[in-house]
Amino acid sequence: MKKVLIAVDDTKGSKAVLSVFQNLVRPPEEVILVHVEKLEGRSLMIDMLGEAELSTLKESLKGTDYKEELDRKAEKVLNYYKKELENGGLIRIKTVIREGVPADEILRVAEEEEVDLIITGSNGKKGMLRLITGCVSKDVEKSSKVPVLVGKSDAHEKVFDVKEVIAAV
Amino acid sequence: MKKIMIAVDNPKESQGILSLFQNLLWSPEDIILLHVEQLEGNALMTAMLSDAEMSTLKESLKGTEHKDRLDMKAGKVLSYYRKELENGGLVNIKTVIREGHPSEEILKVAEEEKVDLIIVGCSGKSRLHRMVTGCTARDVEKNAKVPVLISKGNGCGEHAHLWNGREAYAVQ
Repeated sequence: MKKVLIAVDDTKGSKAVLSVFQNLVRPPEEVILVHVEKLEGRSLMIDMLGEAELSTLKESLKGTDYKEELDRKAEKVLNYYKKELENGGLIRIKTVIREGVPADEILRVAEEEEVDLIITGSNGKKGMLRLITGCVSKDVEKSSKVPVLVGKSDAHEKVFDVKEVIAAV
Repeated sequence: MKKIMIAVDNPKESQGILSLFQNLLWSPEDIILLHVEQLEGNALMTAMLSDAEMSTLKESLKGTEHKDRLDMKAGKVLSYYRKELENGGLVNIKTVIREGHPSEEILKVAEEEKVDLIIVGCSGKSRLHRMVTGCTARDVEKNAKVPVLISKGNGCGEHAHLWNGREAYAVQ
């Protein structure tokens, strides 16, 4: 076992990566902890920004309070998970902060670092919310070339299945 | 690590799944090998059949050649995987055959057997194909209460990447 990428953010669903990692996965040689700063907030926009627009956005955000806030958040999130993993006995942990579309950046880091497994949490978005804002774990799973392990936090209750309701109607 | 369920459909995916145990995962105490016979073929239909219709379909297929063929395939796939896993040093393997909508049956068995992890293969379908016929891995991942591992292999993900939403917009 060589390298595992763990993608984390500040949501509760993200914490599932820890239990999954500790219970299911053999200790790897190296862990890459990735946090992606989402510049444009939660919106449909995410799919509609081209590379050029995204880099303009990055440029114009440089030095602003908003960006500093994002950086601070990223540090905090990564430090939290790093400490948790270290408590579990891991030593080689590399942290990476990226900006942009989470799924794209996660996949990019996975390729650059040649990881053997990607672990993500699941934010538990269901139905409409998921449809509108997208789901990072889904996008990663869809386009990844290496196995993807999606953690689940216990808090998730199964919401009704839209499909079945439609069929019943 | 206690119980793992592996949903299998295609012998081609066995390499990817085996290497998971060799490299990434702790060896489990119990393995449930599940194959779901999809009665109605590859169609949009799968999402639209209710339980009642599904059981009528099951009833009417009993004893037909189509069903025999499905049973034969199920037996073959499961015994193939069992052998491969046993060769890899894994024991305590239980095989299960179900009929119906794959993702629903996978989730049902996962709950009945109280598994700690579900492993599903990736079908390697193209985006359009997936949109039309649905994707088992995704449905399972979306609704499961336990962690889901999507194993890769047989070139999947490679051309899906080309069809990223954002790139599609950039083309315009």
